[in-house]
Amino acid sequence: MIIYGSERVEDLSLRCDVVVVGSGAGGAAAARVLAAAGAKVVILEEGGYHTSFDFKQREREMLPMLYRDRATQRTRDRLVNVLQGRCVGGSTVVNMADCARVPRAVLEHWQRDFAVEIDTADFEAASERAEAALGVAEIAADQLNANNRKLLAGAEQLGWRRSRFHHNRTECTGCGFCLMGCAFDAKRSALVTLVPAALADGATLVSNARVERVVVRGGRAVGVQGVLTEEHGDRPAARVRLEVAADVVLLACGAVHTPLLLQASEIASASGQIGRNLSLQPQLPVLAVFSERMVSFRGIPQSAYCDEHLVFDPRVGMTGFAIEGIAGGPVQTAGLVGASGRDHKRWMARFAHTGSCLVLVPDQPAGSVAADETGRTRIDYALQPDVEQRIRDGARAAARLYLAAGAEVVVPALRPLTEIRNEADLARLDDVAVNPDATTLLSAHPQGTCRMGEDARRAVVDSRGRFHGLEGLWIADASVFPTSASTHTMIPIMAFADLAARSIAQARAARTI
Amino acid sequence: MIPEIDRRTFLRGATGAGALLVFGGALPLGACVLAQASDPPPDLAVLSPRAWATLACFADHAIPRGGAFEAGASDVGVAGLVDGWLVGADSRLVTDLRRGLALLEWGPLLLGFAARPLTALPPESAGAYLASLTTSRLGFVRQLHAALSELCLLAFYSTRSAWRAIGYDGPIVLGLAESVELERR
Ligand SMILES: Cc1cc2nc3c(=O)[nH]c(=O)nc-3n(C[C@H](O)[C@H](O)[C@H](O)COP(=O)(O)OP(=O)(O)OC[C@H]3O[C@@H](n4cnc5c(N)ncnc54)[C@H](O)[C@@H]3O)c2cc1C
Ligand code: SF4
Repeated sequence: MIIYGSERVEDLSLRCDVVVVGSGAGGAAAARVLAAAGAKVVILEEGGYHTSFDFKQREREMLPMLYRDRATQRTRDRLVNVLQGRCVGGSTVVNMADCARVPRAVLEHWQRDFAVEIDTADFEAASERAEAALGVAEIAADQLNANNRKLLAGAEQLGWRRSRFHHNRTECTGCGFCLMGCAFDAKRSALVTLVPAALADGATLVSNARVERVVVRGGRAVGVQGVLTEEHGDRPAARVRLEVAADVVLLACGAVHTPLLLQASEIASASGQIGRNLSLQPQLPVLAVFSERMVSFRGIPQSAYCDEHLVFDPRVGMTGFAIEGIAGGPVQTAGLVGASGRDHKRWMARFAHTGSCLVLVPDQPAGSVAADETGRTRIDYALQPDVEQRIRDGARAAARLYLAAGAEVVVPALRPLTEIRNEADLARLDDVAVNPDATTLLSAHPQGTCRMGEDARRAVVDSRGRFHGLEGLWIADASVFPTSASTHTMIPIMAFADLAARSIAQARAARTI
Repeated sequence: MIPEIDRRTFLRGATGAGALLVFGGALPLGACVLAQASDPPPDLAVLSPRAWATLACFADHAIPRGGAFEAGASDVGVAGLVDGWLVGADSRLVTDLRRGLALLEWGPLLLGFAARPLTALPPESAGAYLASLTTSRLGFVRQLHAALSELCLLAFYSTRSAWRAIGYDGPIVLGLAESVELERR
């Protein structure tokens, strides 16, 4: 059953076995498993219920509809634009549909250094189930657009390791609008896979349902309270009250909003780690202009990558950087060109000849989230010197790669515009600053603000997402990773949520919940 | 998106300019090319006429007419489009924007650049003033410039005129406006 919160005229009060807050990668995956196991599940989602019919491929309309704060959410210093979905299906609706597993070395790092007790084989099996649910397959060679082909060609020329992504698309038309929601339901996001599966197994979905508080009584979480809101607006007005009583409260609001909800509910962790250890895995866009028409805005935007420079360091996990193809619409591209006035127009006039990639840098936890006294989200993030250096190294490598692929000129998204036309120009990137004046980094993978681990003094939840020190409360989203998963996060989150949900189902069966 | 301009920051920018602000309110809108050429749209939803005029001046500087292609911000009414886009935006973002635009408008006086607000400056001076903001000592002024540029780009590159100019053939599915039009026919 679906309850459209924005149409409801009376207060809503429900009772269930498990209330899942958030319908993105973590929430939808957990809800599906729990509903299949026979639990009475209610999914509460702050965003609206929008389907492919609503996805009009226009940045101006889609950003407010599908993204948190119309995609303007930033770190406090404005250096990083933290992108998150806010709709039924969460970030999976607007993501690039690349599917990767947590590198085994990273999982081992978590097991060894963060007391994470997840059996490697169990995690692999959960990842496989997640992939099966989304229909994951390798992107076929003939699905690559010119930009991604250039990326592979440049890497080949330089003898660098490279590959095509796996993805969760079927019958993709190659229209190129993945970031605006898929108008053809070719992207197998949670919206069209996990959420419907949970509904088919009897779950109830409430859209436009903003949870404001976890209710704690007698030392355990017993439900949530919030409001049902208007459809439109970044922070839509409340219409009626919402209350859900449940045996289990499972939070899956994402790495920014799960800790905020805990803080708003005055739920503390003995570890003191709620809202801390934020990783953003920042990305620097790099543009390249070719003499031929590239039409990068058509075709699967992100289908190839070069991981030559990703290295595993046993002390900290993954370091180095990856280079991944990318493309956006005119608005997104215009925002990356570090010029202004007529100079900016000169670049945009070559839009159809432009290719672009992202330098993705696995970082160490270096940030926190909290709300200020006005309720405004504060994301603090300190760019570490080694991350800054790797961003520079990555910009140089991406420029080399595109030059090797025949680009006329390459420009990383830096102000002032730094044009790289040949190998000699690469030195111009040696000392460029990476600060809010010079660039805007992107983050599509915020993680780690309620880290997991068996040691309650160091971790917020255990290795299955159970909150240390408060019965009935679980977390299953990007916030549980102790450090950056060092890859695209959708499948890793779904795999974790699958395991968390199975543990809840087992505990219910054993009547220990 | 817009740097947060709390009251203290705003006052820091405005130190010593209180009298000018009051006085300045009486200055006519519009020596800046754009404001001269056009009146504010009658149906502004979020911006005041002065804030609209300030943004229009800024947009004209960020996306001028001519150069690699003819269309510029003034051809598509970027400031009005931004106003429309802001409907439904978080009220705090709107407040920041309003304060930012006020700072931009009165900046020539506050920063000792000229004895007139932005919208009353001749085009060359307005351009020089706006360009100087990118190297301002004050971080929030530089960031304000960057944030307003992004807003203007968003509005401009959402239009068919811009799409035509850059060789973008636009969305494949019908937009709301087109659907309504088809239905009407
Ligand atoms: C633009 C973009 C591109 C990406 N590309 C890829 C990719 O190609 N491959 C990949 O693996 N990953 C990608 N990701 C990342 C991946 O999609 C996310 O890491 C993943 O979806 C996060 O899962 P989550 O459950 O933690 O949160 P989300 O999926 O973000 O879901 C959280 C949900 O909780 C809701 N919520 C928050 N607070 C409340 C509240 N108080 N009450 C009710 N509901 C609430 C939100 O509205 C949201 O819908 C991308 C992300 C973005 C934004
Ligand atoms: S490129 Fe494919 S998956 Fe992406 S929006 Fe178009 S049809 Fe959907």
